[in-house]
Amino acid sequence: MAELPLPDVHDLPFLAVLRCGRCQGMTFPALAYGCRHCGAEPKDGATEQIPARGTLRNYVTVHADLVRDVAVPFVVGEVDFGQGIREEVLLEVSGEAELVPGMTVRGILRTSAPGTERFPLRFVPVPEEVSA
Amino acid sequence: MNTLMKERPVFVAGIGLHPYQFISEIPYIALGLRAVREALEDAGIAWAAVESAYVGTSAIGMAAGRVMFQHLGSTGLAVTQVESASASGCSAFRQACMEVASGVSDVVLAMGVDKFGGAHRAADKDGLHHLTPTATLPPVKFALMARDYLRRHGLRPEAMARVAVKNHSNAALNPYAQFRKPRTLEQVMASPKVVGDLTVQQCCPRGEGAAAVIVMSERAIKRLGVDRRRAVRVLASVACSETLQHGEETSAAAEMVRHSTMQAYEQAGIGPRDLDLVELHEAFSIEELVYTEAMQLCPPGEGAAWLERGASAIGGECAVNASGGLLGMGHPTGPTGVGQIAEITRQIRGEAHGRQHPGARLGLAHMIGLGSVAFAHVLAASH
Repeated sequence: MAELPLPDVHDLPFLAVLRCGRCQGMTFPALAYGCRHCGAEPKDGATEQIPARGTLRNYVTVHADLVRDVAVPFVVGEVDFGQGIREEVLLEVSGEAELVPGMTVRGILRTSAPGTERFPLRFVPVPEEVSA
Repeated sequence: MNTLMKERPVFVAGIGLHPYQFISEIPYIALGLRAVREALEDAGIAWAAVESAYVGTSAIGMAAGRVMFQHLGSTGLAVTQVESASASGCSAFRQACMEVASGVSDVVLAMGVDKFGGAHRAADKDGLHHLTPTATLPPVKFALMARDYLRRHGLRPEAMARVAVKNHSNAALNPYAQFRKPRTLEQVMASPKVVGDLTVQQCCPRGEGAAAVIVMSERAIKRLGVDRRRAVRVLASVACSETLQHGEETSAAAEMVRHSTMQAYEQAGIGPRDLDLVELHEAFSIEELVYTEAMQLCPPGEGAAWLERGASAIGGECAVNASGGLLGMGHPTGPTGVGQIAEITRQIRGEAHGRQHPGARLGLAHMIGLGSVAFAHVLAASH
């Protein structure tokens, strides 16, 4: 299924992560103050980019006004990006019916919607890919 | 700590609370002093006998203790303020236990007092970029935990809503509880949704209150003429924080609860089947199902069934959150952990009129706090 072009979608964005110089473990975000695996200082590691694409592990709809940046209802999910990095993300879907655990999601950069000033990276399902 | 508490037994000799309630104009000092005065009266001692005090609070501000205690008389006691988010009160209690166990003091006050509105999460000031504004929000974290648990065990949301039904029923019998009405399953399910399958009545309320306990050595009990039969012994005190989890099956929070509880069992020389009572952190209903399994009160995956057959009810195998828990009694933050100690003490004394668990002699108080951190205490009848 071809994906519809969206007016404010940029190229597939990346997540900047810290590759530890001591244990080689990955930490997100790259600006973290130390390796989350072994505690090594960031200066001993290197920043790498990994694709903002991963496996959707779990998701829920936020119904109550808990945050000021995004209007409810909206959907958040836990995504495994590989190498031990699991992050909570904003999903750009009309509802949970579009989602299945194990499906692949990818990041898109939004610049015009409310809240995108602080949280521009949104995730959408990659059609017809179920990886688990 | 284990050795210290065996060499120098530690007891809870007095308990007191200000009822947990919705946000009011009452100054925190009035809330706190009511709890402290009730604890002193319960122990039958004067304020002057207290050598040291630990105050757990997350929202009051700097130097809450001394500002409050001067109204009891400026005796010169040591005053220390501690903060561990939801677990602030139990960190105050642990400090009090260690101070008595180490022989530094014989009579120590542990208390918690809070009013909703002044707390700020350090996680929001970490200077790091998160991918969603919900990344540090407990309701979202536990709604995700709930969805995962329900999906994995093939359960419907009603399975966790029954936690709220049980705990609101218990709270209705507790004069210190914020909520005093039983709720039906239909009411819990029909209340507005917050996140995922969590409805409002499955999330702890905002509120305020205070709780206080007097911690004593055996020597002080004799010297001050305290009624030994009403003193409850502290068998274990454990603290830990979250570790990095890579597994699919166990959340970091559940693993932290499991680890801290197993340490507490070992320190106390007991097993999960020995417990008559557990007070635990169910700020969100799902937590009680996950943590009763982590504590090995029931087999893995059977938390919902264990609850449904009444095993965790007052009068069941092990009464869980007989006070009403955070959902029913309330969660004013600083006081909550101390309130758990007060409830277990009251139950072990046989003084929990109207909600007494028959034959209560051994209880576990377990709290977690943002971060996450965990505290576990085991209390036992001393006669």
